[in-house]
Amino acid sequence: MKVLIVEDDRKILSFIRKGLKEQGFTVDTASDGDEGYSLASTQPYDAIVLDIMLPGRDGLSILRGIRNHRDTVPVILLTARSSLNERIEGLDLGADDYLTKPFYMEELIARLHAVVRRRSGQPLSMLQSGNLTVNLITREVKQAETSLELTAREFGLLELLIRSPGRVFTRTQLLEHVWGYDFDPETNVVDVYIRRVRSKIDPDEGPSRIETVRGVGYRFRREDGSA
Amino acid sequence: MKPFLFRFKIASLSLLISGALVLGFGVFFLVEIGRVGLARVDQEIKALGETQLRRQHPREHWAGFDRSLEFIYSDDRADRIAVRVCNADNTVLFVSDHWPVQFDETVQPALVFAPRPARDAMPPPIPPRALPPEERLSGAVNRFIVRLDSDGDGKVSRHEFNGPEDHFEDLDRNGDGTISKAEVSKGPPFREMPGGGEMARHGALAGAPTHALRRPMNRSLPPRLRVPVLRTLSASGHDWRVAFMGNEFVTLTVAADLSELRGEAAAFRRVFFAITPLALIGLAAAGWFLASRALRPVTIITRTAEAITARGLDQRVPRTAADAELQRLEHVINSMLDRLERSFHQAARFSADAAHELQTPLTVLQGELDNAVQEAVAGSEEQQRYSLLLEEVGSLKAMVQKLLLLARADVGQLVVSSEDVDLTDIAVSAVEDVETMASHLAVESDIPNGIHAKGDTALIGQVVRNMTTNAMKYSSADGVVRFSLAIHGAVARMTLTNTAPPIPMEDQEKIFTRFYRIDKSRSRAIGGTGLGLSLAREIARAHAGDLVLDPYRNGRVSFTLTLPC
Repeated sequence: MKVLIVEDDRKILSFIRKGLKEQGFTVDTASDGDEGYSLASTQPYDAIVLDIMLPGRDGLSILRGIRNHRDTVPVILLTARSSLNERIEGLDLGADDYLTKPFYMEELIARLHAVVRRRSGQPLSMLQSGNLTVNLITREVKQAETSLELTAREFGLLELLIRSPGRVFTRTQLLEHVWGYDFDPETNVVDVYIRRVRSKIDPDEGPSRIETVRGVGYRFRREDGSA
Repeated sequence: MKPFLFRFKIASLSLLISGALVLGFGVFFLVEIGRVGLARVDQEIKALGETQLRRQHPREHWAGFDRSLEFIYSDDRADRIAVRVCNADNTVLFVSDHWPVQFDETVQPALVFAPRPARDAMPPPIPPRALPPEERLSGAVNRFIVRLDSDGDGKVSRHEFNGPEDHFEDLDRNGDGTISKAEVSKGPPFREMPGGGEMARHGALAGAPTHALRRPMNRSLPPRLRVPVLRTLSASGHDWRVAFMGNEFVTLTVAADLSELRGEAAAFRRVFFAITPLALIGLAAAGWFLASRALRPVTIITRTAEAITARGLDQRVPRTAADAELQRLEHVINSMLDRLERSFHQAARFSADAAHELQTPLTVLQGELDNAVQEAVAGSEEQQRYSLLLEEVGSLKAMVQKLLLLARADVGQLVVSSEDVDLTDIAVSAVEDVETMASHLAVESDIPNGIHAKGDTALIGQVVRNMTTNAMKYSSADGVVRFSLAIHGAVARMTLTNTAPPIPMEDQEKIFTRFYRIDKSRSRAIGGTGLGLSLAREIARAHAGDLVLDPYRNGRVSFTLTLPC
């Protein structure tokens, strides 16, 4: 999958490129608006990640240019959290999604996958790991053919973990995704919920589907069993 | 003490000052009118008496003198003056009919002789001799004619004349039945006329000194005068001014009725006391009116200042004042507002800049650390160290986010989106959190399905989490936490109640203050930044809702979040 990243901060650009390459993306980068726009309008991409605040043409102007050429390439905007107006304007101009800084890599990856799937008419609705299936639309969880009852928080936790198998999540990352960023970081709520989710989804025997990474957090076991 | 209205102060002050002035002047004039009036009367009666005393008169003269008073004062006022004449051994020679008998009992004051002036210093008793007799007489003649001439033909006819009949005959020299000016002033001197010695009796010429008519040729020295003594005495209900006078032959007592004078003063007093209160009320009203007018620019300034909020800092005081002082006040207030607006905009720009400036390094830090955690060997010491740093970056991020939200709220720029927010969903999850994290607490809930509000889901979720965290933190052990959600009209209300000791009165408003904690010693154990409630309220208000502490009831502390729906 070929992705264009337009971001003026070289350090952000560098870790995004690194993170995406690890996940098997082909990455082009541009660090100003004009370069970004010329790349976007000449090269075919599967998705574009656009920062809004850019030197030269800003992100919204690039987006407008792309959409004026009837190019339907999926676009994800990067914004500062508080700039509501930019977010709304971006979505109005035809952005597919937005991500507020600071963000986690896996969030960007998950959203890239989601927008590309949505464009190709196959929205991601089912996640699977072994005999465990999670329906993101009906919020149904099944173990083999047995339906499992998960609460809203438990479902949120499982969904995040199962989307990125093998990826390590710290407690704060889990809290931020499931509960929101403003949670008391000293709480043990994550451990309590992980225990409850495990008790519901784990097979009767064998290792848990959610591994504890000592001193760090948790990760969802890959199906092939490797870390 | 309740402050007085400025207008009231000005009105009372003007009332006080003008009242004091008017009363002061009034009293002064009343006293002065009385004094001057009395001095006038004194001079009048003294002059009257001394004129008579300068000569020795036969006894019959005094009745004539009394009658001549009727000419001096018109008939209706003739009894205003009364005289009483005694000789040296205190035998009454004459007394007026209307002499107040009460005065007879008054002890006659001892009168001392006036020092006889040196001969050359003595004022000539006669007006300047250079004047011809016609002119000397003309004033007196005129007065005589004018007083008696009631039909205005310049002559006195027989019926107009009120003196004795034979006097008329004397004066009507040409016998035409009228007395003309020429008849009185021309012709032989009066003293040559028959009965001329008695001329002064009918008072025709009483205005002129009697001796002016009779030249005292080769006369002996005039009688020595005594120094008059003047007293105010009361008789038959009114006051009289009494002059005790005399010469070496007689004592003359002249009494003037003061009721007319007193009446004048009383009339003045009445008018004064009737008009003064009205004038003072008018002055107070004028003071009130003027103060109100003067304060109008201040009222406008007050109204403008009230209208100024973080959102309306562009308001300015209109330049309406015409006075230099108030113009200056307007100018100063407007320039203060300019500065205020400038600093607010700077603060707003700063928070926007800070958002950008802080978020970029945080994104880098978080991204790099996250990559490092993923790349490190699972469970390795290296991974644990990265993870610890990542957690700290997470806390930093949350803190920065809160401060930026507050900074935006302060400049009125905490704009929230207006999505559909599923409050039921948020409340159910909050109940789940409490049940999970605080199993020692009993949870009650009254959460109807399908309650929605308008707003920003993430921000409202943050408010509810803050309420929930507080309820868990501060609940007494084995306490109860109760969630309830309801719609009241166009407002959704979420109330969170928990068993806890009451929040002290003085802390009730402060808990919404930044970085404030009631129990300083517990804060370390309980954790948190002390920004939560303050930010939660700002968020609620940015949604056109509110977050309030409810009255303490049944051992429970209760907070209610209201949001438009």
